[in-house]
Amino acid sequence: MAVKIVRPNRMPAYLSKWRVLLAVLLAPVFASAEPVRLTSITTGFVINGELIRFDGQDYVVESPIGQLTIDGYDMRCDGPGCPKTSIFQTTYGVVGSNLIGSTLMPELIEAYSETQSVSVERRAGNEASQLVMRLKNNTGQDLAEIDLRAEGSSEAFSALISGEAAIGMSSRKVSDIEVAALETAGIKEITRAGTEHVLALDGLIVIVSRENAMKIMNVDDIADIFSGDIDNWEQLGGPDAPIKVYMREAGSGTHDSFVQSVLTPRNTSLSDGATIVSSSRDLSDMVAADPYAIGVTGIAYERNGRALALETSCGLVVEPTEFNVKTEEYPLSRRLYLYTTGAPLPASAKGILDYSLSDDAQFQIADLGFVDQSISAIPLNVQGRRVAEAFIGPRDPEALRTMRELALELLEADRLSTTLRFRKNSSVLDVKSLDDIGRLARFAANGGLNQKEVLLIGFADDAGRFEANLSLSQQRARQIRAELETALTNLNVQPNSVDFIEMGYGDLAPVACGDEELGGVSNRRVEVWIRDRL
Amino acid sequence: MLQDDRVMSILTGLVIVVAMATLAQRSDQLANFLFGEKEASIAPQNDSFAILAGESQIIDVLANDTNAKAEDASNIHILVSPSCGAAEAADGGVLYISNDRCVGAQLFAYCVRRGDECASASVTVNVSSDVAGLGATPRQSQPVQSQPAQSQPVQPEASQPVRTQPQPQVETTQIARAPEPEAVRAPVQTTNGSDATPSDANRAPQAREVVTAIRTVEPARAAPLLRTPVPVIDDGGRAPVTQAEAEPKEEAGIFQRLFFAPSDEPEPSDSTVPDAPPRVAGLGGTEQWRPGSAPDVSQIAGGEADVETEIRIAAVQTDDAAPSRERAQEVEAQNLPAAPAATAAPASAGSCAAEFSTRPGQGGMVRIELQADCYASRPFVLLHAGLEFGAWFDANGAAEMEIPVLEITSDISVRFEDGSSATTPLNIDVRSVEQTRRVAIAWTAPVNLDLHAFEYSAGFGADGHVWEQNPRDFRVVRRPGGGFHSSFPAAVNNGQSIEVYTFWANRRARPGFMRIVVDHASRGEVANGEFCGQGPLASPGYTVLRSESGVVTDRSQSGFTPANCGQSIGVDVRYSNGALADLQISE
Repeated sequence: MAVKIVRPNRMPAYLSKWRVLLAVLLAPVFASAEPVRLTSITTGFVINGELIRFDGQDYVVESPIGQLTIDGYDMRCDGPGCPKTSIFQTTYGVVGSNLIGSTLMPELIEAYSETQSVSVERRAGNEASQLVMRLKNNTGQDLAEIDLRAEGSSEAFSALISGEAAIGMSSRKVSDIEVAALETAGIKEITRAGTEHVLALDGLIVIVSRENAMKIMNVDDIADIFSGDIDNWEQLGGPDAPIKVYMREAGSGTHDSFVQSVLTPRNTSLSDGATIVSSSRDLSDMVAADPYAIGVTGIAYERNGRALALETSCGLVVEPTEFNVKTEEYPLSRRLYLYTTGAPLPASAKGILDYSLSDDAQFQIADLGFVDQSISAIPLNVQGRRVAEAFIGPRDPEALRTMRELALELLEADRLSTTLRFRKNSSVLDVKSLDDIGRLARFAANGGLNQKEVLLIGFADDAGRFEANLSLSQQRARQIRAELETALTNLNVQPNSVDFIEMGYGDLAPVACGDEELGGVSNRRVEVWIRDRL
Repeated sequence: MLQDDRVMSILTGLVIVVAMATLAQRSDQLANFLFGEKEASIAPQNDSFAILAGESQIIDVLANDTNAKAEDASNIHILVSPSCGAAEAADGGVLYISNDRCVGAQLFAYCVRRGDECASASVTVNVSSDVAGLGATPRQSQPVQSQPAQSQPVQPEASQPVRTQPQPQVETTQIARAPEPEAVRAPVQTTNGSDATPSDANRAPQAREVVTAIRTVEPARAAPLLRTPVPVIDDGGRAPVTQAEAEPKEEAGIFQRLFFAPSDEPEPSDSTVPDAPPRVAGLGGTEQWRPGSAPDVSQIAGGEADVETEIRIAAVQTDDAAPSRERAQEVEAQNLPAAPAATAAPASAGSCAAEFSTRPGQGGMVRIELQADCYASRPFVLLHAGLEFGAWFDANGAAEMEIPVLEITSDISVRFEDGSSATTPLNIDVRSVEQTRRVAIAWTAPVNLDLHAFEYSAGFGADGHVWEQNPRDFRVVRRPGGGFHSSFPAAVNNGQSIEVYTFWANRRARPGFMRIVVDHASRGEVANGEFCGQGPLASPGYTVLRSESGVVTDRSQSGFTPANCGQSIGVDVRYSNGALADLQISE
């Protein structure tokens, strides 16, 4: 009896539009049956058997009840019989964000290919935003051709709809309008796990030339500059010189995120005098070369310019560092996404996607100046500004005494980038924090917190009395402890193997202004600090 | 009579055979006649159950299976195991064993063997961490035939089955894409004392989960670790001799005698040490030739400039030891314009003595001096780090050139026109090479490709725009740091053309990014003729080699995609394409 597990009926457009040549070369390699364990990535189905063959698309497995033909997309193969490589000849597009596509994605494709012992040839396209990457085996035979087009985040979704892209790159979350357009095109629920993938974190940075003396800029001033209300450096205490404003084109994630976070809340819009540049790299270089220029780009594109620290409306100054982006305390923090439609991907595209989201890729993402999602630690002695601001804030003697107590607790401690926040008006953790709970639990399960005391320090916003906020912050810390202990239990780790100490300090040491006007940064949080166990 | 008996026996036999055959063919009918109708095929139906995490339970999967009987329970086989927990055929059904980690939808499949068939169906078990997470009614539509021993009551289940279309036959199992299973979380206490709603407490699994080591963020980036390789002199088969970085002055000027031979490896018949330094090439016209005085070694740190390694090539018999005049003329006719005039015949047919030496040059370069009388006015190729630098001997058989050291562990070889070759270790100033960051491109197509470096965001034509037309000189960047450019045109048709950008990354060099771009200069601003469409030179490829401190960090292939004929090639495409990654100088 042969059981055929068929692949989904919907054939992705890029498979019909572009040529797809299955690599029949692979088939003879796996003619001899060897044990394999196939696991469905989405459903968890496990099939044990002996692999008869793999043609680059389907696995044919001899199971205890007969021969099964299983769609290779969605299946992870483990065991000695698994194909050594699953790349087959195909051409497809990777389209979208210039920020992701011009530097990060080519490097990730190359790094993935290296893991497959596949060489990559880069060919400049006929547009500056286009790069053609050819994957070749060690005999020089073409395995896949990737049309990498870094044309802006909006293009990601139109290319997914048209079928020109197997993977879309976006430096912002897909908008409701785009979701509707995707649904109309038959691409359902693109924001679900499995089709929306967080590739890395990023911070929008405001950059100037290194010759420019400006180092900190108030967010309101930034809005005025980009709207044209401030057009001369003299208005900010600088030389009498016109300000040259550079901005990415509308439709790019950088443009849209900046407008949404900085301009729209102030009821203003981008000045018509702004110079529009379609490349993050070019924009950065243009600003760097002009001492009177200013522009907005991603944190990985500071390059030869200098990123300004942001002064928020309540006077807090936040520098655009990797750590501040990870904690999401940098007000213009954001996420970078890869999107797929859920339809079968060419094997190499799936490999690239999986690799890009893997732990292995995190260091590479960081090396290229982007912000990865690993857990970082930072000692107290490099948080001088924050400590100073924390002491400047409280005027009440009791609050000052409590602040001193907190400082003493943290003297020998490192802060982890894991910062847990809650949904608005709720004690439920937000989505990223839910992820972070699991990430921290796994980190502990892997021994990362051995011989450490883990301080779970709750904070509150400044609404209400200090004593009430103190109690609330302590309650938050206890809640996080319970969540972490549950997560550890689910990982078969004894919760008491980790030395948690929960504490709360009310509204002390705020990281954001109370009004949350920029980026929705909240003071309602639990920070995680570690120190050596005494 | 005897014959009649035989006929009867044969006829009787035939009747028996026919009867047996008929019996065999009609056995079903006979069986039905004798024992009643044959039972219909069993048709398992998909099942859905809910249990508590950590519990084990026997599930009566046959309860809703069409035509199933109690005795079929002993013929249940697990076809697909659940991804979490375990499923095994057990008394009366399937025993599903969960654990605390199995929260969420778990899927397995079973089949019921009857005769030669084993019809299958799937079972979805929704494992909940608490009783509240258990839903509506079970999907069992048939009466339970054999009540399973349940440690927990079977709870109602409201979730959709994974298979939306139950399969009456077993030949095809179709897996529809199910919604992502949601992990059920326990209600959490809100700050105002009320429980969060179940929808708040539930969450969809996230796309990725990453666990990596803690990395302490340092306030300042560490300077790149420079390797300090030492050159190794391979004396042509004898044990390699490691040359210390700070070699004593006394060893300066010591020649190392090496021999080379073509593939038949004839024994060298002579070996001498020259009394005078190699002659200086007197050619003109090609950039790479450096006629004139010896290099100024006073500026090179380490004081190794006068250490010299020489290959002495002595009376080597080759298959085609010297090129014929006709062949010389043929090669000459193919030469690119940069080639010198070939006027001299080979010095001596059948044997050839040559000298091959290397010594440190400035800016991480290596100076090569060659003397081979029999190859006078002939081309040769220097091979280093996988690249081929072409050049010509002068009329006296002398050649002298400098090439950038790209790979400190790579030897350098010379290959003559007739295929003979020799190899010598690099004699270089290691500390000089350590300060270099290099990007080299090499191509063989007869086109002009230009390697551009835009230093620190420099614009086109600015001083920081370093390329063939603004190559700079090492002396300019020696103190402040910065880049210089070297070009090595192909010496002959199909030879390699090479351009190298070297960034001198000394302590004074500013950190920053250098944009590196390759322009298809032959194609220019508008693609036409052989440089467009399917034209032979529309999409030339080139090799990219990057090295840092004399260590190759990347070797890859790159190129251009063909442009349509008549298509304008924008300035941004020419000087801002992303085929090559930037060169980053760290603090």
